[in-house]
Amino acid sequence: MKNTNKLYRKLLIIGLMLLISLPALFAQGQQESANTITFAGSGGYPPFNYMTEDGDIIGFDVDVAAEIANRLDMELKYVATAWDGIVEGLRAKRYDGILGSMGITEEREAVIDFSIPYYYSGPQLIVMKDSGINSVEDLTSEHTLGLVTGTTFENDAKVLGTKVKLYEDDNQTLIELLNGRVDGVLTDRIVGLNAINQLKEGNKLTLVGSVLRSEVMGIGFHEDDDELREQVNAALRDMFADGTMKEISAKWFNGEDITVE
Amino acid sequence: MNILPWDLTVIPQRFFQFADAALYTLQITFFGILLGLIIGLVAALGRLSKRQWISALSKAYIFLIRGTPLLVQLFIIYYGLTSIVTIDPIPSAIIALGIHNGAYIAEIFRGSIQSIDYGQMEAARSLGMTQGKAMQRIVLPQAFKRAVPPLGNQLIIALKDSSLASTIAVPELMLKGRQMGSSSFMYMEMFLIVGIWYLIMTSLLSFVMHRIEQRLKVSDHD
Amino acid sequence: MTKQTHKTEETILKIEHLKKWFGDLEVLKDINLEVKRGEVVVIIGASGSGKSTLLRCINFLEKAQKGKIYVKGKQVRQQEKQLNKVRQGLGMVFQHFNLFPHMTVIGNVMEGMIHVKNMPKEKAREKALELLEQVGLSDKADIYPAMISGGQKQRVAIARALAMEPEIMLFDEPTSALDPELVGEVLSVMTDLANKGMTMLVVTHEMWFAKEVADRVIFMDDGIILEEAPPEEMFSAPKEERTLAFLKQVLPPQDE
Repeated sequence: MKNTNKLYRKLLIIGLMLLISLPALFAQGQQESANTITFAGSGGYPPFNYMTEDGDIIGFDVDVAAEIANRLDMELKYVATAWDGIVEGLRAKRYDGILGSMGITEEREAVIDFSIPYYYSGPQLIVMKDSGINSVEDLTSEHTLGLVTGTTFENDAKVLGTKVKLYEDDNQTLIELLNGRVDGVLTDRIVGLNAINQLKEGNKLTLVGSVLRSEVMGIGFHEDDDELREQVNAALRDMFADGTMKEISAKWFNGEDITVE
Repeated sequence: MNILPWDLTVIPQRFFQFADAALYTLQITFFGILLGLIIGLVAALGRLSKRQWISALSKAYIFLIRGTPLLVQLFIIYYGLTSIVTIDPIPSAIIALGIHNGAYIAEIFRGSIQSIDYGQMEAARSLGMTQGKAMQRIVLPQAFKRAVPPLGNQLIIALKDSSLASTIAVPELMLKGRQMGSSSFMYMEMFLIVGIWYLIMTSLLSFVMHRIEQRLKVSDHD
Repeated sequence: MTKQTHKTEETILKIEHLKKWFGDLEVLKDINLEVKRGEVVVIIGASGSGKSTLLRCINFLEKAQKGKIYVKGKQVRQQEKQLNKVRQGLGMVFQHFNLFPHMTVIGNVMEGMIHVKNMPKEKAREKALELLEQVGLSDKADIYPAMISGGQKQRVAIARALAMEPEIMLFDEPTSALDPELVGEVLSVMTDLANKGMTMLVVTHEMWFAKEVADRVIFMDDGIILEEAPPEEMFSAPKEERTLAFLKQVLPPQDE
């Protein structure tokens, strides 16, 4: 029996060590103090919100978020979460707001509230240069488009009548386009532009035609969170007035100001 | 040297960046299995109970949980319950892993308890022991020993299953792999790293289980 | 070996109209039996006759559907608490020993004393050693059951049962699973026990034991007690045909 006792003791020690880590594990979720404001995005939408190699999330959205937090005298926590569950997460109050290039739509307004618009853009088709597709009219029901689940672009694809493949984020859609698994990607035109400039093989891609429609992006808030929303709106108005928004836009989009219509 | 389209030099370079994530994987697995052991033992004893309603409850739990994917259970806990209670990613993962593995562990315990010769129970009861005492002193100690190999196996399965927690924002290995792959576009390299981490952990676990089984054999008196 | 008897006048066990079915099969068909304190009763019969079942009904390892069992005048009911107490007074020895493999020999003997009688460990150990002495195995106290022979295992089992200070000992084919050369040591211990005045009910095929030690032999056939008599009568002049037939099969031929 002595051997088993030694064994049990060793296991007990390992068990205790792991057990001690329990509170730290749970604290991972609770890092917010009263003075932190949490915004969420997909983390896979360059150049608006995307991850660096070190795991940090950066981008236009993140900078806007940081500036807002600053003006509200709070610390920013920006988290990445699956896009198709992001609204549910907000309603479950897992974060304070969605600042991840979310388009203001009637559907979404029914369940959450939006801030005033913070930038304007629109979906555009991206294809491989040698695809022979020169306009959206060239798309047939035989073509397959890659898009991200839960985006407004899903509807656009439906209207175009093509086959559709759904992905988690635009990093994936663009890779699939380069792989040849989809014939085109429907996403925000700026994302497309960014891909062409930044991706390893981005020069093989091209934007087709013009934006299919214009889209207005807002910051999403829980229906009950009127106070926070108004605070953020006030901050945004200041940021528009004193040129900060223009500055942030210029930084990310080569001088272009997407914060105005 | 680049016959392959991947940059394999990245692998040793970035390998230890995944250490934090690996720790999370270990932690949620460990606590998940711990919870699973408790639930499993209760469910196994319930299943063997002579009281119909307790046995039926156990059977229902085992049937439902073994019959549905872990992913479904995970989503129900993390997303589905939000109208009643919102549970953070890590606790959700641990609870889901616990409930899921509990069903399999229950069957492992049930099997090992039933494999103990009924004569043992008869001898214990003949001495005047209550059912509870007989289980506690005579049957369960023997059953636990027999349950060790299949439990070890379940532990390794649970470790790999923990990768599903990546779908609910738990910063474990799989999610780390996807994020790193996504931001660098070096999916193959990053997932190879993830694969190697899992391999190291499962191998270590297998080795530990093997040693434990050896030690138990030595003290095995039949 | 001189035949002593320690049978008293006190009825210690009474079985009234015991009936048991396994599903549709009736295995005990109206058993009536009275055993006096100190009596040694040996039950013989073919397999399937119900003899083991009868024994196991006494300590409720099997539950008879009809009939009553009285131990020391009190009826034994299915009620858990009372049953556990009664079982302490009924020691059982099994055909396959059923020793606890994860405990030492002395651990096995001490187990009931510590965890049922709530005896302090030291006292239990003392008593256990005495009992092991009694069955001739005190030198094997700290060894695990896997290491000892079948005969030794059974002797430990007897010591384990005796540790509970039973007033009746039930033996369910105690030597049937033993190699022939090991049978003797167990029967020897059982004989000793009988000579000390223990009330014993023994289901066995060992006719020698029946002849030499039993006060009464019961022959069971097809669920009933076909015949019962002191061994001298039973073996030399059985009244029933089937008894004779059975005995012819199990006893060496006698030259009358």
